[in-house]
Amino acid sequence: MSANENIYPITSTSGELSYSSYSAIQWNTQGQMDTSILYTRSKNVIDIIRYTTPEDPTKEKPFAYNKIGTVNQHIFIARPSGNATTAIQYGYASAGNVPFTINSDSFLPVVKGVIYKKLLATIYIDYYDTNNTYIGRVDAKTFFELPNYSKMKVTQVTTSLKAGVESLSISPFNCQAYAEKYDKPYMATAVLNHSYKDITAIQQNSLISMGEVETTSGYGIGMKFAKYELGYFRTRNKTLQTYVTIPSKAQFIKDSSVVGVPYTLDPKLTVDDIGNSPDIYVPETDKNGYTTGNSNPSNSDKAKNDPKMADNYDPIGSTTGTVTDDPNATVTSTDTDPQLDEKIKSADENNRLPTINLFNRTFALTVGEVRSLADELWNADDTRFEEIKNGLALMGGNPIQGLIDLRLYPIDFTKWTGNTQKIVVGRTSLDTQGRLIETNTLPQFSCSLGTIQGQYGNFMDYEPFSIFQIYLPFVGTTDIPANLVIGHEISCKSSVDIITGAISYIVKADGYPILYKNGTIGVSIPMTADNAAEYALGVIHATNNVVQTGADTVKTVAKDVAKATSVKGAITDPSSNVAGAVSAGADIVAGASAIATAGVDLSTTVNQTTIQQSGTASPSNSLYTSMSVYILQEYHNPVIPSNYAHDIGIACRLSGSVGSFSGYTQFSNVDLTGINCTESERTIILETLQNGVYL
Amino acid sequence: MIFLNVTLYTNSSDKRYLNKQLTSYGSYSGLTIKDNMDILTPTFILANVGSAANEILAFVNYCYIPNFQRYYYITDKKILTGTRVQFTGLVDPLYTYRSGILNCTGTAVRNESQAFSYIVDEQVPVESYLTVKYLAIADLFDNKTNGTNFILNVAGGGGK
Repeated sequence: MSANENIYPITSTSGELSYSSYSAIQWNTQGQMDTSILYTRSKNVIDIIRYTTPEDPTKEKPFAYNKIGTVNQHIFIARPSGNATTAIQYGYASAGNVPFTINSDSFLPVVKGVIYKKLLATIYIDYYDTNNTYIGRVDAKTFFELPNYSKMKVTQVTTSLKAGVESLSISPFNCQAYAEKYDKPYMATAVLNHSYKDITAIQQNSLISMGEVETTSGYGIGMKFAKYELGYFRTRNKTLQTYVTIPSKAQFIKDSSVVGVPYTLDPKLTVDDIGNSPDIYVPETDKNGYTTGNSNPSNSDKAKNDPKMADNYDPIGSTTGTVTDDPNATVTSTDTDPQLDEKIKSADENNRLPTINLFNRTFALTVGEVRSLADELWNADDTRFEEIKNGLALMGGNPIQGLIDLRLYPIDFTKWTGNTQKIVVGRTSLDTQGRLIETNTLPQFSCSLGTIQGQYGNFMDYEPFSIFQIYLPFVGTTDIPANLVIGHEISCKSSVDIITGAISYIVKADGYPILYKNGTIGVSIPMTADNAAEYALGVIHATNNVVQTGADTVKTVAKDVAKATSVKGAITDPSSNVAGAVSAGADIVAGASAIATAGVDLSTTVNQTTIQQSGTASPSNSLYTSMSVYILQEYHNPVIPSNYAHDIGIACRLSGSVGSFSGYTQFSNVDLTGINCTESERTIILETLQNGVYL
Repeated sequence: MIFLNVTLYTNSSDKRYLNKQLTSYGSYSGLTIKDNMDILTPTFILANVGSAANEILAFVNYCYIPNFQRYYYITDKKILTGTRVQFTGLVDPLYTYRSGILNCTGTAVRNESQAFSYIVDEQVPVESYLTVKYLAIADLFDNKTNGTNFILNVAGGGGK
């Protein structure tokens, strides 16, 4: 591979901004249901179109943060040469150009990126008028010095305007870029915040190109990957359209590879593929993705990644360029693993050990095939019966010992099976066919419940006024803290152990696991008199408090099954035992499917009702309950008199002069300095203000 | 003897209002203090009110004494001999110092003009019972239709 081959840029590994991805984002606003659809307009342009319901100002939550998406790029930079003004110009930030069309009152665009080692970065915002004519630029230069980064945080903001443009009406103090988080050993997160407290006329309907980052000096910028989070804060919410433009491939890939130029590589390429490229010196990284200061071992010229080789090598501790201390900047040191978030989110991935077909065989069967199997086993002639017995000599020669387990699931396992083949019991191949389950099969199911919004968009959505519950099929309802639900995208993933019939759930909020639950989904089908009796007993007990219609069917069959008190009985009357149970199971699945298909009316509000469960349902009974995951909110309805605000006031925590408030107001405390009155009068004034006064 | 001036009002506002709705019933001089006076709860006598006596007795409930630069609620009124009227006052520091109070800074914990937010308002009355609302639902099993729904585990044949 050489550097000038067609290498497709990686614009996203998260799926949120990939070229062909489709995603819906529900904005986290209060009192509104916003839906944004992310789709690909062309290969290099991704549109985010947003539909917003009318604003309800009474439920406005100030400064809600809206994350547009995350872009992960694999970028490798050996070291910049001299003043490496282009070191990450394209590779890092151009992919994050975020033009905003401003039609709303106030927002705060944000670009976060991961920067390794030392960097003097310029992040700028370009302004364009409604005719797409360039107006000017606001720069925010930020100096990051790593790894000894205990004190370096520098912000220098400049504003440059196009000739002829007199004013951009932007206070430089509103623009700040700062190191939000440092991490070990060579990483910092750069954040550009540019706030618009009040949108001026020139800013309205203007286009902002945001996110450009370039180094103006420094050395040793090595990236395992760059990750951007694109988003903005908002205080008011009106119609707002945003779109993200991904630069064309030509901007990523250079014709010739030189040190200091970014390369965006296909993640599928191996390190050796990259390292063998004649012109690319890939920084060696440790297991955590940090650069070590050496090049990839497969590259012969390791020294080219030595930071000291930089033309303007500047020892750590000195400053480069014109920098000034920013009194408002903050630095937080932390030992948190920089990839902790991703590790937590993917903690349940790739944990798969084989449990299928290790010592026995596992087949997926239809109800007809099960019936055929029963018929073949119990109605076999003597020769065939002896053949089966002999094949099971290891098990003592009892044919029933060859059938380890038969379970019914509300799942069609076809896609996890291989070709249809004859079922082999012990060493004997039967005429009945089944589909052999593949060795590493772990059926998994996942679903997204979207971003959950509470009923009221205020404190009433939280405990003790509200209780959130999630229903998981075959587990039941479980309380979830409101703060883990409201405003978070809830998803659910389940894994089914087809050998034991167990099902395990992981419920996630924004990708982070918040709840683990286990249950039993597989219904054990009796094949012998012993476990038939156990089955019947369990069914009879459990059906007393579940759906009666389906339970009646189960009871009837179970009673028949229970009549068989010996193996002989089971053999001589298979229709009342195995086949009967199989038939009941099939009915159960059909009933469960109908229930699941019917679903739940989301608009239904049930008064004076709480979802409760008691006892432990058997798996077969659970087949009659909902197969869907759902979240519900139980809340106490407020009964607010019409004059509540005037008579009692609304709870708040606002500071200001007494004259800045109006209407009924209670103060926790007021500084009465400056009022020349007696102490008795001062006490009266203070008590009146604390007890409530009309202003 | 000290002679003071007084302006009489009818106050129609709740005591908790910083600004009062006042209707003037004229200013008088010749107000005398009865006994030793507490400036916060003074008792004074207004003489020679003439034909206004009935009106004063009926409607006046508030006054301003410029000599003390204070406003007072009139809490008690008595008719004395010789067309004299006796008042008992209670200082209203809220209205007296309203200008200064408006400039003082403080932290409001309840306010009429706010909307409910994420600050817990413990005074909101709520119904005793819980209302249930389903917020979201998603189908988990995408292939639950009747098919190969049975899993049979048989002895032997593993290890391949």
